[in-house]
Amino acid sequence: MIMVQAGNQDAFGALFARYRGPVWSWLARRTGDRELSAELYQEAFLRVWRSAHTYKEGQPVKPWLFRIAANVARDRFRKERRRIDTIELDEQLGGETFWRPEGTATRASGDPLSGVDLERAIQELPETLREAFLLGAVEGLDHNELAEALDITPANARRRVSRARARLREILAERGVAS
Amino acid sequence: MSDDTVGTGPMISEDELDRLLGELPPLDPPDLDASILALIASTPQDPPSIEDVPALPSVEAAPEPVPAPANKPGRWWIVAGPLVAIAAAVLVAFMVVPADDGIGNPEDFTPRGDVGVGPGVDLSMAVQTTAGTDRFQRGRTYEPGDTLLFRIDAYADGHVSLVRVDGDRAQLLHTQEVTAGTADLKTGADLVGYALEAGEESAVFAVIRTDAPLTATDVADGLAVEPTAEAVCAAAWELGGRCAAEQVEAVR
Repeated sequence: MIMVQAGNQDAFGALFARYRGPVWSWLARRTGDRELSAELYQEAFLRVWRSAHTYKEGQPVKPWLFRIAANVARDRFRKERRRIDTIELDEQLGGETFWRPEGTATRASGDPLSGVDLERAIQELPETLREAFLLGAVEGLDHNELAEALDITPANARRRVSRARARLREILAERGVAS
Repeated sequence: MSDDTVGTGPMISEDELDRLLGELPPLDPPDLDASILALIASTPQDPPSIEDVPALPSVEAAPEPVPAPANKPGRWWIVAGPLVAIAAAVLVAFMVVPADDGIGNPEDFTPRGDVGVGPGVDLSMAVQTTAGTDRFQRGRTYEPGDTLLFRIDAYADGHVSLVRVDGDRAQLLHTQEVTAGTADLKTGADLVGYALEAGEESAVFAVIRTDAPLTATDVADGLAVEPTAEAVCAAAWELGGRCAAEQVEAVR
């Protein structure tokens, strides 16, 4: 990361190769929109490059990088806030979203739960719980790293992940898909 | 929302949730590697800013900082930028302006709905117009582009959902985890604003405090009622929430 700060593009390439998967997964699940995620993905890594000077030597890279990605996503939502919630609502009520596998049949009673069920349930979490859950439970940030990435206290980070987990269990139960 | 309405099947266990986490399907990044690396190659890095320069070691005998003169803006304003200034302007509008200053009737700020029934929530609203930020005035017709801002006073910890209900549907605009007390509705460091559009019909803006966050589906299904503060809050009660609401008139 120090080499990236020094403007070394090869070092940036290595950083990009290491974190491209986690950042993409987080953005894709965070937004539920592939096209938007692709824009944010590019913008996030561009900002990582441009803002490399904000990294402090010895600081864990992953939460620093996710903090940038989270800010990129929030900036975009803020710009589009005028109608973003209406758009989100419409999508939840009937729009096609990429995480929804094509041709998925209604679950038969007694079928075991799968990751796809959880994928859908995650999209029903409120924004703040979803971003925290995805960073903490999916991307593996601990509470201190999560707090750093989201600019909240560790206690709040722990609470958000805990509430997200509780809410996910509720959502899966509401759908009657619990095994 | 309550235990007796949640679930048509048994709750899954924490272990089961962890198992499902391990089964999340992989999401492969799009093939943008070449374009991103090309973009990097042609983009200069930002220079370090003053905030990135390490602070000088503290000196035990350092003098007490001298407060800035009252008529001179402090460094905080210089650094924080316009967003913080806007937020501060709103705070001033909410906190400093006395209730009987002649800007609207204090009675106008009495929340409607079922306030006072159980652990509830109060709603205060401000409006950013071209003339500045002022308290929301019930019954006033606002202009396109005027932006509604929201402050709540929750009587207990929980989640607050900001909802807009008009003659067609109920929309979930924002959810926020809150502790008991006063809070501005925010996303990150920024206030949540709702900019009114030309021709927008009359609508109810409600805040609903619940123990667990409401979903868009909860709102769309449960709050699509007559767009009056009383009807919306009555429906919110059915969802297990406590509510305060304001009617916003149609926009010209």
